[in-house]
Amino acid sequence: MSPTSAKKTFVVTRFDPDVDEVPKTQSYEIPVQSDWKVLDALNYIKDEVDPTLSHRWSCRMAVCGSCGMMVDGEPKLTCKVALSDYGDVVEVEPLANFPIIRDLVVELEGFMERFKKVKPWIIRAKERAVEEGTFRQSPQELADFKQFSMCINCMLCYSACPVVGNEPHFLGPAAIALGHRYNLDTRDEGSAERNQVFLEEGGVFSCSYANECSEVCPKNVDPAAAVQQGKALSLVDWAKGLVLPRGGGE
Amino acid sequence: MARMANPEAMQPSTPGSTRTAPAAMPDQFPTGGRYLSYMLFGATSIFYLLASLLILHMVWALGTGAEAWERVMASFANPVYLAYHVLAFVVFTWAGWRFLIKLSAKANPPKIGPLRRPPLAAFPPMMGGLWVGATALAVIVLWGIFP
Amino acid sequence: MEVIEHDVIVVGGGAAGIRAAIAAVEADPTISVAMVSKVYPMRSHTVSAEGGAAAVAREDDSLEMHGYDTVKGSDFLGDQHVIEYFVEEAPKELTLLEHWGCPWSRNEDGTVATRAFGGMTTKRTWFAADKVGFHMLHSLFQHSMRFERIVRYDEQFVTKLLVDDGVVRGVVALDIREGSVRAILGRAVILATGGAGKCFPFTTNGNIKTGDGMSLAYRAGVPLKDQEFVQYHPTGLPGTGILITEATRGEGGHLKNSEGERFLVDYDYGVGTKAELGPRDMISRAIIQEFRAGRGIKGPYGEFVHLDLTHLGEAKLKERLPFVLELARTYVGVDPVTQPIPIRPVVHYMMGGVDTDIDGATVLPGLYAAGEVACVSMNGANRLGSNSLTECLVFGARSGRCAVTFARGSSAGNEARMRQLAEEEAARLDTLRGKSKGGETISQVRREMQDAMEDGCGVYREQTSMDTACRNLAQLKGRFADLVLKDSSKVFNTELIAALELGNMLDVAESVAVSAAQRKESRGAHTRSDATTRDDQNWLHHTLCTFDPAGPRIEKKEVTLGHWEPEERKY
Repeated sequence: MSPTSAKKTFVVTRFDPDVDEVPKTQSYEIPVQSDWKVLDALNYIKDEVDPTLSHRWSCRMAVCGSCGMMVDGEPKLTCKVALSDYGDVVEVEPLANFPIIRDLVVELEGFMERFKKVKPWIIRAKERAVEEGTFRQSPQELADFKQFSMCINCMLCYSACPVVGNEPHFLGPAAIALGHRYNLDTRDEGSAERNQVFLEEGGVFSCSYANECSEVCPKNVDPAAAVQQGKALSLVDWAKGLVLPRGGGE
Repeated sequence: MARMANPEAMQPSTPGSTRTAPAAMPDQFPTGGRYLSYMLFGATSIFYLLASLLILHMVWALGTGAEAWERVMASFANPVYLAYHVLAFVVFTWAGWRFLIKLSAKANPPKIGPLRRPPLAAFPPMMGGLWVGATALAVIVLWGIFP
Repeated sequence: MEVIEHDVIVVGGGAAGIRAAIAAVEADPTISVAMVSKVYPMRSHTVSAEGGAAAVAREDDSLEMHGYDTVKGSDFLGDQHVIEYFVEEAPKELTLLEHWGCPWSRNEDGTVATRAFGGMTTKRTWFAADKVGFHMLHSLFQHSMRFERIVRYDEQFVTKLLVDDGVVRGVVALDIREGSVRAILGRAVILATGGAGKCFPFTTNGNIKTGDGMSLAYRAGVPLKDQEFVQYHPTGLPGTGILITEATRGEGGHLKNSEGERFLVDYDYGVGTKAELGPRDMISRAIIQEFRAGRGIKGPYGEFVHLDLTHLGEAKLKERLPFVLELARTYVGVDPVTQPIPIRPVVHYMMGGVDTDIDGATVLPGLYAAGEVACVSMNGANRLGSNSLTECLVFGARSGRCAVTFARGSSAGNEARMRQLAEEEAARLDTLRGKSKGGETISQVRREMQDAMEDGCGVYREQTSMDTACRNLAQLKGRFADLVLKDSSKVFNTELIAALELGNMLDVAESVAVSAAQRKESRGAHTRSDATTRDDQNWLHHTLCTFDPAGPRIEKKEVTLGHWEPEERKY
């Protein structure tokens, strides 16, 4: 009863640091169904052909952000892209621009550090008490930052960004978009702190606006927009700092 | 095998507990797919450099005297210069399209201070109008029609 | 063997775990909390929740009404003192989350918007479009990063609770990346590992929902409560089981059969005028009844019915249900703006779990549980949609605070003894890794377990099918011991993790089947075709299932009633 099946060959990167000096590739020819995503094929290989293949995945509905990989050279969420969009030979590699831990699993700690650096939480001079109820925020004010809050941390943007691979200090698209998201939130008062981080080495001005991050984002977040807007707003802050004494202004 | 990235790329500040294979750049970098237009866009800076040198040269000629100025003007008729000029026109138009029309709109924050950004859809006609207007003004002035 | 010490250990990094960790560090400025999770916290399955989180917010609503709806939704098996506490705390917790940055959808005046949900009398479900779990999880996780005293252990798989002198003293964790094992000692442990939907073949749950925490507690002698109550969500995509949120119905979507009839309106399924806004158990049954009446639509993955949103208009769908548009277009090639979405009931949530009191405390001193892994008994026999995200916050926070109180009064365990237990566990894992002797594969045993659960513990159950499931599961547990593993690498060995997860799922699956087989009535999500009515005389009590090497032991536990008397559940 299941949809029609055909055969495809998957050329998959393999790397086990205990055995391999450098990554190598391994080919698997397997039967595939016409409605499969790329991830379904990897899971088939794992379950039925080669249980030593390691990859991360969970929700299989494009929201947990675990299963980003290079498919035929482009960063993709493997649970979201249809196999039917690819030819008879599909190349699957770990995300570019990341150190490889094993097979298709990459090192995320570097990102987690950048993530924390932009202080992705509401900063206020005085915390609001629960008894005071919720903040008021108009739909327009929400819309101003909403799209930048849609990032699932899948790391496709880091894989596509030509700066990330060349400039090791660069905060990168997702982290900057996240910081910018809080800067735009009317509930937040911490933009001065974050703009400081944006102006440091590896901050927003490392970006050369390739726009690749936005091209590959599977959730239609526009990190490139966030980075450029971050340039403008952090410059405004910097200029204010020249004119006004520190701590002055707002 | 793809080009290697910087060995420090996306490494944590303290190395992870197991040995990792170094990061690779995306396969298509630098000349495949969309990276080509990104690299070309970067390469257009050569033309800004040449245009700047030309302006400096003209200023120098102005300061030196009428003869120098005439020589510069005469050099404009050289076919090599004309070919360069056509190329520069194409390059600046393409760079302008990519940056002003395609990419500049979303670079504006929703608000700067009390000022709210016009709708994103308004930017391409706005920037396009500005571009055409500025070009028209330059033509009018350089042609000697105005002032 | 590395031994690390903290005051409180939270196992799991979803909504309940993070909320517990934050509550713990806020309750005492001197303690440190270890948050141990088998995935990076933003991958936790809270991320997949879509529709919303319930808490009284409107003028026309009241705590009394939210309480009553929840009790009635639970088919009167919810503990009423727990539910009263829950509805009271719910608005505070959601407000707190608003202060922490959650991008709740707004009304024009800037107040938080609410939407209708199944089984709820009025609009009390807070939402952030249709990605509520995603936004809640990310807001919580990002907020938690400001606390230096929450120390994360990401991609560390807890395989055992360390118990000494009848008190829990810590956990043994397998570092997935290194393949090494360490003991993390603490004076209280909070389980927040989520449910076990992966025991079933067709589920909304992600791959990580393998009942790990339930199995940890169960193996430590803590009973699992009300395991027979497994919620089928009425609207999952055929084939994948991907969730299509109940908010589709909250926003006015219709369910239609092959004749194009709104069967919840045209036939009597007990949901009355609520129609599509009926509770999940009743709507799932109605869909199966439609299949049986020959009014299902046949597809490559069995029968389905239609969820029709076309009359809502593109603007509303884009504003309120953008994720549904994305999911339907990507995973079934259907555009909900113009076409109905094929859907069928799918395993979604475990009402049961680790037996806890209102503090989240279990019978094992020092061990707490919160969220889906726990059964604090607020959901009874059927959970209302949008109550569970709030439950994660309310009881995550409470268990966090209570664990701190316990930890303050508890002494550190005997380190030498703990080290020895951890070394034994490490040796067990070493034997399992790349175990070459055996004849069974993980995927085969897992598939048979899932099939046994579907056949025996589906929407409709009967004695013979449940008994068969129990027998099959007992047999599969035997076959599990004969697994063969091919990957002997230490680094990121996901085969080893899959084997451990399968062991956990077998524990949970068996507890579900055995608990189900003994309950001889129909209540909430437990529906028997051979005992079709609710029987308060004999069965108004919880089921406790306790681990025993000879097979699960079943006992009864009293339900706490209150001012809502059990009555016939009709809408």
